[in-house]
Amino acid sequence: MPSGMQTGADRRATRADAGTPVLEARNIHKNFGGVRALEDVSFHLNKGEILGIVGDNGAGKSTLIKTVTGAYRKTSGEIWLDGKHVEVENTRKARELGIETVYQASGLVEVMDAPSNLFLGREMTRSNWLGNALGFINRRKMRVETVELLKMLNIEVRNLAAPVRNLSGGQQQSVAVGRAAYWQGKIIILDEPANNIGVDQQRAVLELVERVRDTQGVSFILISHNMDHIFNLADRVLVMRNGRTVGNLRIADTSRAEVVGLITGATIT
Amino acid sequence: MSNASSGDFLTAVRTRLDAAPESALLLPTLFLLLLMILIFSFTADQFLSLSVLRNVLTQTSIYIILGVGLTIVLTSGEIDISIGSIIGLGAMILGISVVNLGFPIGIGLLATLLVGVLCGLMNGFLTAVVRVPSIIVTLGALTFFRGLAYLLGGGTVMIGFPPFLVWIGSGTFIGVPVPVWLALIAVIFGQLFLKSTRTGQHIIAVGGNAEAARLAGINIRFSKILAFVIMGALAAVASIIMVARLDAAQSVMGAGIELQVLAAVVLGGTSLFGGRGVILGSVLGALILSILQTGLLLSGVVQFWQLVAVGALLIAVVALRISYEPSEVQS
Ligand SMILES: Nc1ncnc2c1ncn2[C@@H]1O[C@H](COP(=O)(O)OP(=O)(O)OP(=O)(O)O)[C@@H](O)[C@H]1O
Ligand SMILES: [Mg+2]
Repeated sequence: MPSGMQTGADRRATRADAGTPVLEARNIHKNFGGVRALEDVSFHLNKGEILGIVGDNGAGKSTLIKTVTGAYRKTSGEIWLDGKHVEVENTRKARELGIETVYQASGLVEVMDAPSNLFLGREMTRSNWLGNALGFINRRKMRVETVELLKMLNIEVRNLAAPVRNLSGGQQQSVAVGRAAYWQGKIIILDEPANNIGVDQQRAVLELVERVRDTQGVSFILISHNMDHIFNLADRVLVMRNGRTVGNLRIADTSRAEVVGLITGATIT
Repeated sequence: MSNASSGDFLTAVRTRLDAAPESALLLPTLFLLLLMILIFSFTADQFLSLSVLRNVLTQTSIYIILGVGLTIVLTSGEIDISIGSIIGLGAMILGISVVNLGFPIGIGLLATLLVGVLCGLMNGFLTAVVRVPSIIVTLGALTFFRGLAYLLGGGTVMIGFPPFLVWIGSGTFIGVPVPVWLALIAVIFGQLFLKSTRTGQHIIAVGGNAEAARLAGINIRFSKILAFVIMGALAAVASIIMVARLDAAQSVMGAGIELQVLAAVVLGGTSLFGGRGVILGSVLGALILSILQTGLLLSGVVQFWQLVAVGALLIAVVALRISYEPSEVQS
């Protein structure tokens, strides 16, 4: 493990200053009525990088990624992908642009089974003309794909036809993360993916993140309250407080004390 | 049979039921239906005759058609209590266009369907776009459409429809009454649409967890509006059958039918909270209500007791289901 960490650190150094960022958010503002949830937030994500976002409850982390992925309409600001200015009007557009997101809670329809959730909004249809014209779904194929995915990700779900609300919280979270991995976005955003799940399943989810990054060259944004996860996995960390960014640090150049200080406001930058 | 093998058998049955959650809802309802037929075949001697059976089926076909529509609306997480008034308005459109204005029956039928679709469109738009809760929208629509029906037809009874319409109401095709065929088509459509098409899956997702559906890129507005439009179109079909059966159109037609249909659908296992629609359950529910009423009638039970029996049965069935499946009550 220590040797692995070494090479990880080496890779981090190169990734942190790679060419054009795959994703860049510039001067994002978001107001909810009179409440300023985001004020002038900018960040960038390099190719193959894992960017951690940390901050206290209510700092604006979820709002930031919802705004970037089109789940909320931003008040002002710009999104750039691979050096091109893009409009992300809605979550469908974000997916088309190659951004997969696991939102904090409420990502799954609890009354539907795992295959339906995995393919939610992107159901496979029968390949014959009738299936195409009328949108007849191909349940068998979706089920086969689900079985393969779950096997690959080492997720055990005994009854695939059961509604996902019958699964444990960790299994549900795995299905949600598995969905993002399955669709192979260029960018995968995870909002507290290791919340509410057991230690083993946390490790499984985080290993999955690293594996997908290394094999597919995917860039990640990882929101977490867990400093261990951030320092083990991330290349860089963005610190938010009260809707603003108060820090953008390379993991190699910082310490937990500094990051925690920024989160609470004890450190002045 | 040894203990072990009966245990194995039970586990096998359980696994089967878990694998198809819908059948777990359908089997008890089917059992109730069969039980009722059995009881009435003893208490009412003509009950098991072909003519009674055919009558029950024909009479139920309207409820089944409406039940399919309401199942889809409930699955999307909404409700429509205006369907009785859409029937009244549809009857007036059919009567005025065919009887008063002398248009060909084909035009009259199309106009009726179109009005049904427009009613659904209005309900859907106000619910999904203006975001007024559907219980309020359709409560308003209940009197709004009925008012329009009275404005159009007053208290008159329109009669003198062409033979084709009479055939829709009382004719048969391969020995089976036409309304039963129409109900069968509605059920096949509803089942295929809800369970096997992308749009149907989206309606289930929207009713199950609207926020998750939205984040997955599903168009919530479209899904809900479509559910109401299907309901409106099916209410128009029901209206056509009703006019055809009586060979007459009147503005009061369909009044109060929404409660019967709602009872049938809930009896069949469809959730009032969205996300779970059991089309075949609604068919069974409608049959149970009809058979209960016909059976009690033929057994010589007074009408008032029939009302009591229907209400009590509905509450008892739902109470039983909740006690077996606590998740029924959550959000
Ligand atoms: N839909 C909304 N309407 C109004 N205010 C909102 C909405 N969503 C978030 N907010 C507000 O925006 C601020 C940031 O919330 P956000 O959910 O982004 O925090 P967070 O950093 O993700 O916190 P946590 O760690 O608890 O998930 C909070 O003050 C919150 O009350
Ligand atoms: Mg959050």
